[in-house]
Amino acid sequence: MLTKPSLNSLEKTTRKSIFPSFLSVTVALLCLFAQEADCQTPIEPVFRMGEALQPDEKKSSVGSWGHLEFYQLILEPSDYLLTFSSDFNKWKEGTVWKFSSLNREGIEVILDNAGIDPSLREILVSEQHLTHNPVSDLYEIRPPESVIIALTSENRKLLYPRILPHNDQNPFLSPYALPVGGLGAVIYTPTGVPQKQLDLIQQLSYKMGNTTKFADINLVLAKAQDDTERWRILKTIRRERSLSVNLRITQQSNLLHLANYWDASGKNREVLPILESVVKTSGIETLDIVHLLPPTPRKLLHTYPSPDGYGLAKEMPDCYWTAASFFSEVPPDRYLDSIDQVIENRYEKAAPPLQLGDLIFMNDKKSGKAIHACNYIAANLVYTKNGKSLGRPWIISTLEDVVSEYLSVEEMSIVFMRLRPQYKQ
Amino acid sequence: MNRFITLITLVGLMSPLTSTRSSGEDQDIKLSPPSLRTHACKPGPWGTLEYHYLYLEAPSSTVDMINLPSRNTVWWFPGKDAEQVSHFLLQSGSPEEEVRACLEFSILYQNNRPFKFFPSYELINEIATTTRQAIYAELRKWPENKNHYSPIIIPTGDISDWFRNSGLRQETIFDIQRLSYPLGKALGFSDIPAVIENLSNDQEEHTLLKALTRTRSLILSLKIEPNTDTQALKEYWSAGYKSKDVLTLFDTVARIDGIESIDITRIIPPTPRKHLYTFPSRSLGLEGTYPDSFWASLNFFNYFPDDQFNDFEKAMDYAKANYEISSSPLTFGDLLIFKDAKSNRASHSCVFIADDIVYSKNGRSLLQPFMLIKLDDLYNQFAISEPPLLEVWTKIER
Repeated sequence: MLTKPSLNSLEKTTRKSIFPSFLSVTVALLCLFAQEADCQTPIEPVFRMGEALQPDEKKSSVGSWGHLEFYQLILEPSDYLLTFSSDFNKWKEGTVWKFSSLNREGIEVILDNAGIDPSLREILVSEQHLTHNPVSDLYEIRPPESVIIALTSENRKLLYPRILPHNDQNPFLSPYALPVGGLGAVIYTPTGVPQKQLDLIQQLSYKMGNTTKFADINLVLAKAQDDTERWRILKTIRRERSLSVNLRITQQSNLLHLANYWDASGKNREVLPILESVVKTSGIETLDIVHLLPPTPRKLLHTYPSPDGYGLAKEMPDCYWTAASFFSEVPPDRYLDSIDQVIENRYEKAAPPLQLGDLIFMNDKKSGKAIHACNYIAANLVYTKNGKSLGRPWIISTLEDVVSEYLSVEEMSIVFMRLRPQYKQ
Repeated sequence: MNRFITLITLVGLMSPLTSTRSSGEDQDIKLSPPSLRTHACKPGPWGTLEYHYLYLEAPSSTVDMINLPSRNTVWWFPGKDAEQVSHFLLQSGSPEEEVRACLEFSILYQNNRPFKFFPSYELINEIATTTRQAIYAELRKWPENKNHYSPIIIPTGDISDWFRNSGLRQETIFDIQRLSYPLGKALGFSDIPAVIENLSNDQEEHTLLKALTRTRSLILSLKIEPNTDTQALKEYWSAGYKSKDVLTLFDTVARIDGIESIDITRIIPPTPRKHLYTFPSRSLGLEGTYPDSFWASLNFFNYFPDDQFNDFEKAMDYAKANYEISSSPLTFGDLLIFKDAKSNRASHSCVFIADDIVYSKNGRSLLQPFMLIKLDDLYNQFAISEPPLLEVWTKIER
C-alpha cells in the first residue's frame, strides 16, 4: 500500500553522512561571529546572533555582492500541503505516552530520570492513568492535562525522546521544530489562533540545545473551539521565517563587480543577461535576488516540497540534496541517496572570501557526525532547507539563525567547501 | 463545432504603436531621453501591476558562438538569371549605375545556381527605404537570404530606444536606423555586413552582434496595498489551483507591513520561474533539441517539464486533448496560439499572464530568452508578412 509522505516526517536531519576528516576545516563557532582581528572569519556579520529583524524593518549589507536589502517574511504551508498532516485527525485519541518496560517500577524510573516532580509522578503511575496494553506489550500513560502543563522544559526534553513508537507519526519522537526564538518570533502577524492557545503552545514548548521543540499537539488541538481553529494552529506552528532579498541598483552600481560576484566563477553565467540589463536600465531601482540565483534554487526558493515533486520512495529533498543541487540545472536523484561521493570528488576546501553557492557543512565537533548543510549566498545569508519534512520550505536565512536551529550539540564545527573549478554543477 | 475559432477580438488588444517610424534617408533621427517611467497595467482581477521595460541580450559566451559575418552582402535569387535580377532591381528603384557595376561582379558567378548578386556598400546605402522594402520582401522568400528571411525585428519601431545603453557608438545606431525598413507594424534590419563595414575592431563587432540579439522584456511587480483583496488575488494567480505554491506567498505578504510590492517571478509556477529572463543553457539541449514556444507554454504549470513538447505534433496533440477554445475573459495560464493565416498551422504559442503581458520563448534559438513580453511587441514580431491569427485556449478542468 502506498503511504502518503508525511509532514511530520523527520523534522530534523537523520541522514547518516560523515564527511572524511581530511575535508574538515573546523572553524570555531565563536570565531565565526566575532570581530577580533586575529579571527580569520570568512563571513562578515550583518547583525549578531539572536538579533531578529522587526516585522517591517529592512536591513542592508554592502560588499562584493553589491548593495543588498532584506526584510523578513513569514511562510506557512498551504492548505493543500496541510492535508498531508496526520495530526489534524489524531487529536481525538488524546495524549498517550507509550513506554517499553518490564514492569511498573521501570516506568517510575523513566519518570524519575526525566526529573519529574514526585507528586506528579504519583499521579501518572496511578491506576487511573497507567495501564498495560497486552497487545503491544507497552505501558501506556494517559496524563491529565494539568500534569502535562505542569512539566518543565527539562522534563519534556528528557522524557519525550523515550516515548514510543519509533516512527515519524509520533510527535514526541519527531516534535515540531519551532523557529529560533520560539513561536513568539513568528506570530507578530495575525494567526487566526486565540492568544490563550498561543500562550499554551509557548508554555508547552521546550529546549533541545539551542532549538525549541513542541510535541503536545494533541492537547492543544483538543482545546481548540473547532476545526478552523485547529487548522490555523497547525499552520501557525509550521510557520517559518525567511528573508526577501533585493539587490539595490544605483547609478554607482558597477556591472563588472556585480557580474564577477553573481557569476560564481562561471557556474552561474545564465543570470548575467538580466543583471546586465537592469544595471543598464534607468528607473529600475531593485532586483529581487531570486533572479540572480542558479536555476534550481530560483525554482524552489520560498516553496514547499511537492508530494509529487523531487522525492523518491521515502527519500525527500533535505538539506544535503538542497546544498549539493545548488548549481544543478536539474537536481540529480542520486543526491536523495547520498552526496558523500560528489563532495569527495567535486568539492574542495573553500578559501576566503566565500563565494555564491559555497557549501557550508555543520558537524558535531565531538563525533564528526554531519548535522546540516546549506549554501552561502552573500553577506551572512544562506540558502537552506531545514529538514526533510514536506512542511519545511526552501528559504534564505542568516547563518546565525541556521546555526541556532541546529545547535543541539555541545560544540559544532563548520566546514566551507567549494565546487572545484573544473565542475559546473 | 469548430474548437479552433479565431478570436478576432483579441487583435483589438494590440494597441497602435505610438512611436513614429522613420523612413528613407531623410529620416530625422532623434535619440529620445532615457525612460525612467514605471508603467501601470490596466486594473483587473490580477490586481495592481506595474512594470519596467528592460532589454535582454544573449550572454557573450553565446554570442561568441556566432560565426563572424563577412563584410560582403550577398543577395540570393534562386531561379533567376542576371537579366531578371537586374530588371527587378531597377524596377524597384535602385540606381542604375550602381546596379550595373555590381552586376559585373555577380556575373562572374552566374554559372553557379542559384544566382547570387553582390550589392556594393554604396548600393546598399543609397537605395531609398521604399526600394529596400520592396527588394527585401522579395529576398525574404528564400531562406538562403538569412538576414532577410529572419531579419532583426524592432517591434517598437524606435531604434534609438531599442539600442540605448547597448554599448554601440551613436554612429552605429544611426547606421542601423538608416538601413532599417518597415516590416508589418515593426521595423526590420537585415544589413549587418554593411554596418560591420564601419566598425573598427573585434570588440565593436562583438558589441554589435550582442546588441542585435536584444529583446524587449519587462519586470513586472504586483503592488500590495493596505486594502488589497488578497483572496481575489489568490483566486486569479493560483489559476484554479494549478499553481498552488503561490497561495503560501499571498498568505505571507498579506500579513506583513512594509511589503509594497512583490516581483511577479515569485508568483508564477516553478518551471517558468526557473527559466524567466534566462537564455537556454546547453544542458537544456541534452535530449537533442532546445525548448521552443510550445515546450515553454505547455510546461507552464508542470513541476517537471515534459520534453515530449519539443515535438510539435505531440505538443499539438496534447494541447488539443487538454485545452479548449475559451470565450471567457483571458485569465492567468491561458494559452495564446498564433496561427499562420494561410495554412492555419500553429506557428507560436505563449501564456497569458495579465492585462496584455504574456510569457514567451520565441523559437528554439539559444539567442532567444524565456521572457515576459507585451503581447503587441510579440504580435509585431510575427506579423512581418501577414498578420497571424490568434486563438485563446484554456485548460480543460477534469
